[in-house]
Amino acid sequence: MTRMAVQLPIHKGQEKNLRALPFAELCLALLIVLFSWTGMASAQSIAFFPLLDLSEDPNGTNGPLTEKVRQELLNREKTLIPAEEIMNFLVRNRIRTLGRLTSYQTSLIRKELGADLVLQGTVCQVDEGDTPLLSLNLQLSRTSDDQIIWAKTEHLYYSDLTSLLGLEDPHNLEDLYEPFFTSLFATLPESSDLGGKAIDTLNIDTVIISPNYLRPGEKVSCKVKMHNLLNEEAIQPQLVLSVSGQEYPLILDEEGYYLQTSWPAEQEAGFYPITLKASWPSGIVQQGVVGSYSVDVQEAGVELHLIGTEHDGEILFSDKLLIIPKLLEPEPITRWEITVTDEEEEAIVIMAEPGHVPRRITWQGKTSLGSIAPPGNYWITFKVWDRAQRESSAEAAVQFRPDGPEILVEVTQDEERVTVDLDNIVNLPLIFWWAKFYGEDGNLLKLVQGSELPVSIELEGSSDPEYKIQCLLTARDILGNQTQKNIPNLFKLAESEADFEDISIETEWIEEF
Amino acid sequence: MKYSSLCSLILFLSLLAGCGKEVPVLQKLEALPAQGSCKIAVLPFLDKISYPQGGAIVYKVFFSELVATGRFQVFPEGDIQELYQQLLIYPIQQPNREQLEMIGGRLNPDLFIGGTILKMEERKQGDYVDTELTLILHLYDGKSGQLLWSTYHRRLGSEYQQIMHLGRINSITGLARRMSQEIIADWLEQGMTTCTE
Repeated sequence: MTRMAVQLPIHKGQEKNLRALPFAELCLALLIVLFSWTGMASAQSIAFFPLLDLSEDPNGTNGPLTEKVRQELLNREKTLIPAEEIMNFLVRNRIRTLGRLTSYQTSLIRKELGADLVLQGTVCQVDEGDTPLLSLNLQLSRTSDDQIIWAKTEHLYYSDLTSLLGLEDPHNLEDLYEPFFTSLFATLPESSDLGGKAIDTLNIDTVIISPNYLRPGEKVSCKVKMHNLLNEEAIQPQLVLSVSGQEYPLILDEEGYYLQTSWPAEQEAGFYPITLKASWPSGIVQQGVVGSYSVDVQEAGVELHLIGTEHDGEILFSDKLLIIPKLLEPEPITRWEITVTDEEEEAIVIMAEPGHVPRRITWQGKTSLGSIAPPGNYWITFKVWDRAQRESSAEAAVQFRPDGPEILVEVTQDEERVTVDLDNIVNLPLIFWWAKFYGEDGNLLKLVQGSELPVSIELEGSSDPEYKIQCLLTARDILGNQTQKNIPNLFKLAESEADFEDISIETEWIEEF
Repeated sequence: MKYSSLCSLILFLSLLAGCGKEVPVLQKLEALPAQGSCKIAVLPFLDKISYPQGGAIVYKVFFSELVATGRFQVFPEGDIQELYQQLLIYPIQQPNREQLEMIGGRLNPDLFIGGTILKMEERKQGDYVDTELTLILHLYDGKSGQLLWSTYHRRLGSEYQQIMHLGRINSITGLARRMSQEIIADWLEQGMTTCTE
């Protein structure tokens, strides 16, 4: 067959010699050339793989269109590997993704299925409704050298075929098939030069490098799994890993699955590529980068900013505390953790998450169990771990003051006047306070307000032993905590102190009314 | 000038305007490799669009058009995907320069082509479909991963309409194919040397 193929140029270049041949011999020679050429073309077997259907999902398949393309190929007298063998091949080699075979898998197809060519394709768009649409992409590869020798994308929408009279306008997908496939296969090569030679490549199946980020001197481990060798002799190359000029031979692990080796990481910070070198007995050395790792010598560092109310150099809050962590040396972080510890060094809040440092965290004074934490001093600790698992932490103290101001009321009286002393017994400044005093008939006797305590207020006294003065008292501290009290009778303060009732929220509207 | 000649001239000029070519916008940052751009690795395209599998569709179409020129040796998509897995690169992320260097060390390409799909839309309008595609393609050096050329291209399927509905591109695949052809033609025109040169 090869000899005949070589004779083809003679047909054009040596007309004189051909004329010299007897007519019968000439016809016979031409027939042999013709049949052998046809035979060569049809003998090129094609492994046609099921179509990937991107209109479904990233790994969809389309059985009906696969069968249709298959039929169209057979109609064009292509020699196809049986579909069952293709399916068995996919299962046997655990190929789960269609439309993107690797060079190694293409080589396997040649070895296991004996195919000369591989045809794989993708359904880009398909609409089987009233407005049919079909977009298909095909790629033809040569198994001898894994080269893609032909590729085409064809698309057809029903309105591309509509005519003025509308006599033969397409109405469904099948109406598109004839013009579509005629155009799609118009340039499909009848035959292909199968003489390509595979490029020497390292058939690496899997590479596992652990860890990818580490500290100086830590152990780096690399496992490599090679594809099965396709050469008949099964000659194994000697494999070594090369990093920073050092070579580490790969040794088969106990399970006989991976080739592995390990070495201490460099002392200097940096990015270190790992090169696999394969030395064949013939002297040929192949090499390729299989991965990398980074040595990290510096921790990320972190600082905390607490957004609350500052008083006497301390941060206080009553409702919400904003915690803003900030990295001192910004770098990717693998995880972070925040803890809130009380005065007895017991952690009442622990929260940890993988991923980046949050822009801010809000603590509402609750424990991890959901209950309100008691007032007091707390320490907030924020920790981060970088990709080399270096820990950085920052701590800040905060006072949780959820309770309102505590106002001490003392009353002294004589026949002429009543003196009311108010004092703030909690060491936290007030924003404002006011006190209203009402007589028995409900008349407002006095309204006093201010922002500083202690204060002494004088009211008119009475000789009536049953005389009563009611007091409404409100005070708000710098954290926004508010105390509102209703003292029904100032003269029976000690007796009725237990009966002080907190006033429900009193609005300005009610006051004005 | 006779009236009929004037009409013919106007008709000719209007036809020319209808066929106006929207060329891709090419930015040359560095020269292409001196040894030529024969062996090419096309990296998975990123998409910032809602069109399902938009990036994958444009990738397949562009890949085919590159092969169809017959002037490049294009590495199989499966080989690129396998390397992404081995080097722990997500398909939704653009490899950094170090990762490109590593891929280059394995495949030894002359060029990498990466891309981002910025806009991809299909809207049915009666019997036709309004299609729109905007993309950016980047050419990186196959050894160092350095960005060399960058092409921005935006087209509407209706821009190809000539007389009546003829020429109009009614599918996003068709538009991607046409735009890929225009981009590759522009690269060749701008001096990209191929395997056959």
